[in-house]
Amino acid sequence: MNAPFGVSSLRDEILWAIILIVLFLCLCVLAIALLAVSLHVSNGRIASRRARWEVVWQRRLIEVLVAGAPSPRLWTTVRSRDGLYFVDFLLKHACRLSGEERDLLARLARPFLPEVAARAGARDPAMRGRAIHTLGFLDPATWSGRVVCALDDPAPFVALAAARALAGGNRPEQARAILARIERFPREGVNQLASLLSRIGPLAAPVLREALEDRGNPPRTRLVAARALLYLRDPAAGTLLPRLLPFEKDRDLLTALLDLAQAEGGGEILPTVRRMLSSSDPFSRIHAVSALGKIGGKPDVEHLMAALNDPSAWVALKAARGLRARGETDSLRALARSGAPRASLGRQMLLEEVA
Amino acid sequence: MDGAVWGRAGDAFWSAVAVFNGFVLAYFFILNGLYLLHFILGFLNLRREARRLKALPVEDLVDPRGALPCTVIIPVHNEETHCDEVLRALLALRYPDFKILVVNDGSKDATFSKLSKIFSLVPAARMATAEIPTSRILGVYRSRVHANLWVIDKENGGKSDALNAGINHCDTPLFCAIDGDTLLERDALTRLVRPFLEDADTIAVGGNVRIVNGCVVESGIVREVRMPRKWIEKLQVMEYLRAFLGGRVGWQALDCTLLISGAFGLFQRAAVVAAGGYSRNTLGEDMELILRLHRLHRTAGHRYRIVYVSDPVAWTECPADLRTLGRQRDRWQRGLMVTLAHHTRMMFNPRFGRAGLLGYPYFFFLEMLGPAIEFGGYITFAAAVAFGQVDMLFIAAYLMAAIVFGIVLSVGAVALHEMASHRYPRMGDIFQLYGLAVLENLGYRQLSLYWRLHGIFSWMRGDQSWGRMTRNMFVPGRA
Repeated sequence: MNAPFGVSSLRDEILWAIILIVLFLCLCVLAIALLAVSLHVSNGRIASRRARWEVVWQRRLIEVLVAGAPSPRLWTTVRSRDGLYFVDFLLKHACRLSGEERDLLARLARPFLPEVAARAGARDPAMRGRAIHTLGFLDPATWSGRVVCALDDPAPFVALAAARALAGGNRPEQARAILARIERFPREGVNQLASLLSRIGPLAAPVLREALEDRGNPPRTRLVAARALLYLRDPAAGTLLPRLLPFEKDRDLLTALLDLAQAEGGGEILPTVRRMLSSSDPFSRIHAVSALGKIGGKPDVEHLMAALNDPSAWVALKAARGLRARGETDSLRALARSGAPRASLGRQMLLEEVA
Repeated sequence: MDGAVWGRAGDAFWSAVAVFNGFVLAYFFILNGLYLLHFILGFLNLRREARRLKALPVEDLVDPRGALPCTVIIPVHNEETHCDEVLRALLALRYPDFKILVVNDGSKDATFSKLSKIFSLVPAARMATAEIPTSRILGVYRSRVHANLWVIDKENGGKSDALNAGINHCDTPLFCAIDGDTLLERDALTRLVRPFLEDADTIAVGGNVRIVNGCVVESGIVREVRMPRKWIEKLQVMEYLRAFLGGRVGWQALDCTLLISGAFGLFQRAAVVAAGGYSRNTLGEDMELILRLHRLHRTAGHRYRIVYVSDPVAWTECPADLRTLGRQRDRWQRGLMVTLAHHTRMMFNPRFGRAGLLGYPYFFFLEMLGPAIEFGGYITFAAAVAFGQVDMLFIAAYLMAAIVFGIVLSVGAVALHEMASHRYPRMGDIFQLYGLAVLENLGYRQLSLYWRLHGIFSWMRGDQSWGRMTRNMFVPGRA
């Protein structure tokens, strides 16, 4: 075997290179393996220490909640290096509480939040997002300005964390701030954004109705607003439908309005809904049939029966559910006994009713 | 004259062997180099995901009002041993809106009667929402005790056929396909659905499958994570860990997920129905579906996303004896070959993006042809050493690339995995894994090579059988 500095051919050079590269990787991996072991040991120690402190904090926290006021005894148990961990501990519990109890936890966390706020300017979007979520959730009153600014963070992940934090604050004015930035989340599911907004509560409904009615808003913003109103079960949203439903062209928004009609619609929109039964788009027909099943009158039973033969199985399923909801058991029984292709649907509805 | 001819023939033979040995050396170096790249990318991806997840509390992920309804489809065949335990675990899932659809695929044991008794099944009707061809449906049942539990009884048609029967009766936008012995963690579905919520173009998501052998299981929940007792199981834990970091997570970092485990995957129902469901012509139905989804969406020019996420966890049992393990690896190799043979058009085809330019060629040259190249390399290398046709430098380089590099990667995988995920709480388990990382490359890998070669020959013979899996470790509460 030749020494590396006196190699005689390209072949030998390559072979030496392979050997040296693998040896170098051996050393790197050995170092990483030792590092992993050392991290395991130190993380284990930290985790054990924190688990012990959590037991103490848990006890003190119960005392604080019972007393209804923060206790310096709890703060004295938190060392400076454990401040962020203490905030995480409080956040974990705050998620399960509301009202005064959550405010109490926020007051407990307040001395440590400046350290969290420092991380809101970190380079890593995940760290910024986590900090913003913590600030906005635990102490929205103090940090709302910072959190609202984070809605315009270059990273959509951080902006969404800010939106989540603001939505958990039960402050309706935040709905406007979030709605104005819906276009920042083009890939996020509409239902997800709508449920986030609905967490603000019924007080957000006027802002949502305004956004839905304003045709100058992007279709996606209006769509999210419509879904959020549906989740809030806002009765006043039904008053918008006669003005919006007959003229809406955007398919997704149309189906969202039809879903809203199911929940809050009245008789005045029925002619529009009936017209949509003959739409060439099966999605529109599905939602129109669903709406008829909920808000339709006696004459609409005929429409629902006809929809059982729709080319789309989903339309037929919704029609059958609508008939069952209206107590049309005889019609379903007749369908079940018939030899029609959709006879099994009749049996399914009857059996679901029995169950 | 004859001696000269033989001499020249001999020289030519050994020259060919030398060339082949050089090729195999390059193969080992490139293969392990690619694994190394995957590990590094996978590790960075894991760390990034872990930091993101800290900013997303699990309870916050899925709001009941915005939750996407999901159906969990479980094909079962002769699973009387613990089908009830699996179902109890599923019924305890923390997800706002889901159904469970068990497809009894012609079980010959007491699977169906056990389910019927425990869950009070009664005959029901359920409209088909798709028409993927399957073998005959014998009956549809629902539970009187759990409104969201349904059972479809059908003639035996194989796993793909059973999944398709489930898809045909799925009326939710998403379905989760799992194996009959998979245990899902309580928040597994919540975590698995996250990519669908973050990006409406997502059509398939794969989750993390871990080995349950050795763990303490109570009522379908893994209470304590432990290493298994048998060496054959321990080595598979090591293997899964390496495949997880270097395979799934690494490919996800390259945005090139070609494989979602049949034991744990979440799919958009409409996309799979449009693709025609699972193929019944392959044992590798999970990978074949993903390749088909890539092809169809790329060809149609649709935006889509197929991802792998590491935080949702499903537990599955691994073979506990050599025979069953050998059958499994044989089947996997056959499945891989049939799948790749169906999609040769993807090879280096830029039309299919990274799936065609990177993923498919990798699986074709390194995973499919790999066993033959490796085996051939062992033979020719041994012959060359035995006949003194190679120098010490080449021997050293060959062993470095073939064995030592593999050990380096396995040890590195354990270390990186521990740094990113902290899955094994006991230090003894970490050291055990390091030891296994060395041992894996000194015997187990070669045995695995033999099974994969056997798979290649089985494929050439047209063998489509599944083989039998012996289940014996799924004892509640037992370590």
